[in-house]
Amino acid sequence: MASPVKKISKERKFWLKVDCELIVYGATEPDAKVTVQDRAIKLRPDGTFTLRFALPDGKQFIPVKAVSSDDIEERTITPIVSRETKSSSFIREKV
Amino acid sequence: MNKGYLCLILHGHLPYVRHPEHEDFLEEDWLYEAITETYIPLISVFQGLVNDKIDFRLTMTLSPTLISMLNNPLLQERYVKHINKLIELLHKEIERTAWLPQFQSLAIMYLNEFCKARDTFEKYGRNLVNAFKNLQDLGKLEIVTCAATHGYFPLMDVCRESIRAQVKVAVSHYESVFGRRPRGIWLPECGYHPGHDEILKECGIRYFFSDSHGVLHGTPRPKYGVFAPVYCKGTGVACFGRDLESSKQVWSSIEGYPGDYDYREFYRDVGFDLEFDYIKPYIHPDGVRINTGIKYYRITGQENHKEPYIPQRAKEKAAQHAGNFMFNRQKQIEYLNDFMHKNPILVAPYDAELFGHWWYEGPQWLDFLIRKISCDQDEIRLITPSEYLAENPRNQVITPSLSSWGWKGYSEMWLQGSNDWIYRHLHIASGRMTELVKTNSDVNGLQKRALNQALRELLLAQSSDWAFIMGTGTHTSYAIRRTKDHLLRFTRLYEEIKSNSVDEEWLSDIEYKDDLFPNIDYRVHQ
Repeated sequence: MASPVKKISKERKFWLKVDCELIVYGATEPDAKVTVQDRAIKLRPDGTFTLRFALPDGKQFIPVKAVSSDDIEERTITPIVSRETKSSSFIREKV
Repeated sequence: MNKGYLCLILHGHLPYVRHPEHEDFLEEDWLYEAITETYIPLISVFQGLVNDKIDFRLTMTLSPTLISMLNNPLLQERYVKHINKLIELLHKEIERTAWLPQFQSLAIMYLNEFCKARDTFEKYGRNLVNAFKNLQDLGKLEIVTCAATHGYFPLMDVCRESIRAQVKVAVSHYESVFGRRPRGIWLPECGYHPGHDEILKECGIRYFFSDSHGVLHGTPRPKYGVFAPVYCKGTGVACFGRDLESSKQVWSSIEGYPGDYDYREFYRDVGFDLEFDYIKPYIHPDGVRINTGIKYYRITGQENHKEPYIPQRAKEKAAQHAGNFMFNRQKQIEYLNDFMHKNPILVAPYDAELFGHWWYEGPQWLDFLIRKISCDQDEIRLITPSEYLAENPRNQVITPSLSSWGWKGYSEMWLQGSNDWIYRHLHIASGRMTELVKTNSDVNGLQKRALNQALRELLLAQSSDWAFIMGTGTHTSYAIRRTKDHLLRFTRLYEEIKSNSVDEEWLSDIEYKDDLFPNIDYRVHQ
């Protein structure tokens, strides 16, 4: 006789979906020039900024560079973020 | 050498959904999605063919409800707001997908498409009917009409006055929009009932379409099957039967082209896939997730796992499928031509919204097909029904049989357990409308306004879309609500007209809400 549990498992529609995003945010002088990964970004009037990225598996280096409006001073901060996704699944036997 | 004809028909229709009483209304998105994904891509394809001097013929229905929505200033304004919001989302998406180049290139592709859609919409003065009209005036497109609100005729046979009203309102609406009378009609859901051709004849309609079995089961049997039109006995109105083979290649979910694994997956949309707070400004204000039209995956296979969409690969597949479709039609025509004493015609009708909305690559496929037919062969000629009848005026006379398209082919999609309750109410309302016309043949002022509105409400209640939606089991609450709302408004009007006590304030309110067919004359319902 076939296992009733296996039969049920074929008909089940249970599912799970997980994804990750990364929010990079910060602040500087409102008139500074800012780049993230070498791409210029727009600051809010108060000098703050927020960027949102879909985060794939692997390591991301995210250099954030700000240059003062008179081009004299420069600051760089580089968050390094890595994502590794593992998954497993099993079907519990009904008691 | 020309051996036969291909008559491609796109049936463009949406039910009348316009809710000025709400700032944002979920079901109005049906129109906005169709504008971006179907009507504008089709206009671009047709315009490209004209620019490249490719001679083509295509037949298209623009249903009166669809035209009324495309013409409507409120919906036009709301569409611009809708597309602008999606363009804003796409700018965010390009930034968000910076580390996922396959998705980022798709976000850029959609941004270009949506900006182009907005430009095209503005170019035609926000009224896409102008674009289709231009193509008709150029002789490339033949626009046929449809029932006023897409009423399903075989189930309205008990009250032919309503069928007459559906056709007459449609014809006069067409005339006011296109400046000429329609030559043909798309009977909603291909629903034909013997005798309805008398009403078509009375309204100056020369031809209609039926599903294959409408012609094949006619009396007497048609000599050439569906490969030549027939004239209805007694009226001479021509009936073109659908060719099953060419339909199946596009329609079938199993064998049809749209299911190819390289094509875009419809059911994976960022409106459902992305994090709630991020997507919230772009879905329904109540938090109900909706399709945005931004879809990053290809069908991939039967399983839930989906791979990123690759536009170039899909485009190559569309070209290949167009070639395959043309090859099959050539073989079909060669075979038929051998034993028919005239050139066969293959009638291939599809819902316009299949192209672009459901089948994203559909407009590309159509573009490739028309170009290949024009440049790569000389056996098949694209033709419209009017041209065919002008060139081939001698056709067999039969009485086509009762038939529809859709599930089982005999009305069942529109008459089943979930929707059968509507008909007794619709039939009583039809009878009451006839009674109102008989007893108020010449009235003016408020009574006349109320009578005209009563006909609008009745027509809106008769839309086959409500029964169809109830039958499919999705959005049923809206379909039920619409049926009840229009019937209740009609009933109140009936009672107020009979007692000569029309509430003007309420009448003005429903005239504002259900505002289509401004020149309607209630006396057509007889």
